[in-house]
Amino acid sequence: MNLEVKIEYANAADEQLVKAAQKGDMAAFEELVARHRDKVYARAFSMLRNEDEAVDVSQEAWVKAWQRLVQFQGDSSFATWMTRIVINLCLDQLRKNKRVRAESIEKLDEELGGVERQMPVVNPNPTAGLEREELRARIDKALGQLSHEHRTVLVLHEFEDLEYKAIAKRMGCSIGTVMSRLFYARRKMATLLASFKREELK
Amino acid sequence: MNSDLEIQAYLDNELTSAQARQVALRMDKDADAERLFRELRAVKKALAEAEPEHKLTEPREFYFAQIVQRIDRAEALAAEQRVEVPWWRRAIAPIAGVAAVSAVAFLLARTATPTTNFAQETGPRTHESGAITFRSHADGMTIVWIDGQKE
Repeated sequence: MNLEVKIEYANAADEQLVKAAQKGDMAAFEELVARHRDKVYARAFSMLRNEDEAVDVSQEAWVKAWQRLVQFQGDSSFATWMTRIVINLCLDQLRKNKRVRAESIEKLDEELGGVERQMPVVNPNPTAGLEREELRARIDKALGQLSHEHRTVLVLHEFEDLEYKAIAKRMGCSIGTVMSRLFYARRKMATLLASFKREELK
Repeated sequence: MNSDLEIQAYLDNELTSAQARQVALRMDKDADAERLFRELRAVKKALAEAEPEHKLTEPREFYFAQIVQRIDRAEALAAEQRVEVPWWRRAIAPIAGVAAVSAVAFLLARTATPTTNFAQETGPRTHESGAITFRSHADGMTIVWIDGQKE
């Protein structure tokens, strides 16, 4: 008698799908990919700002997830676990890219004493009166103009809710550097968000 | 800590309660500090409310097929590596190397002994009696066979 319980993949909870996938059920894994693929890709894109790289890294994250699925104990949600994997892969990718790229001007600014410290506050509320979609477009454009070091700190702090210490550990730098980069990134964002004209976003 | 970074740390709840009270007091007296705090807070709030959304353009099946292809490739590669060099072979490789060198050294030592004397030393010494003598220099012994049937 076959006692195996058939899963209705589309209606099953993540935990149920994970358990099935841990036993080698590829259809359950496919359902997990379908549910979380946009979030995983979005996080990769927010850090890498390159569509091809983001697709590649997001797929690699799913491969890693399949290979390490037996290690997933359910201490966090599956989505959080996946996000951690993709963030680590993005950080590796950024380190690789950094080796073949000249240091950004912004990084030099930061190291030379931090021009952001002297920037006056022009508008303490740079996003006032903006509709959600316009604000989203402005934020996206502004993120694209930050150096990867500043963007990464901002993404990890604001979107992933990581504390200074956790960011420093992941990025392999000091807490002071995290604070300085975050400060610069926020001030630069404030300036950019206030300065974009509507037509630039279209 | 720099005073501007303290304001930021205050916003992010990264200060002790004593430090936080000091920063709050400073912002009450310093308009620039207070404006900076408001700017940082506005950016934080904006990012929390309007994170950009990016969606994959590839169809679900195509995207997943590529993942499966990568998984298969990784598993095939891992299997290939397992077949090529089994762990036990990697483990015994140094021992086997030492054993081979020792065997070669032993054989060389053996061939260095005058084995050519073996033929010289073996043979009928006294044809009339039918006795055969074998003498080994290496082992320091002499053996004599006597054929009792020979007349």
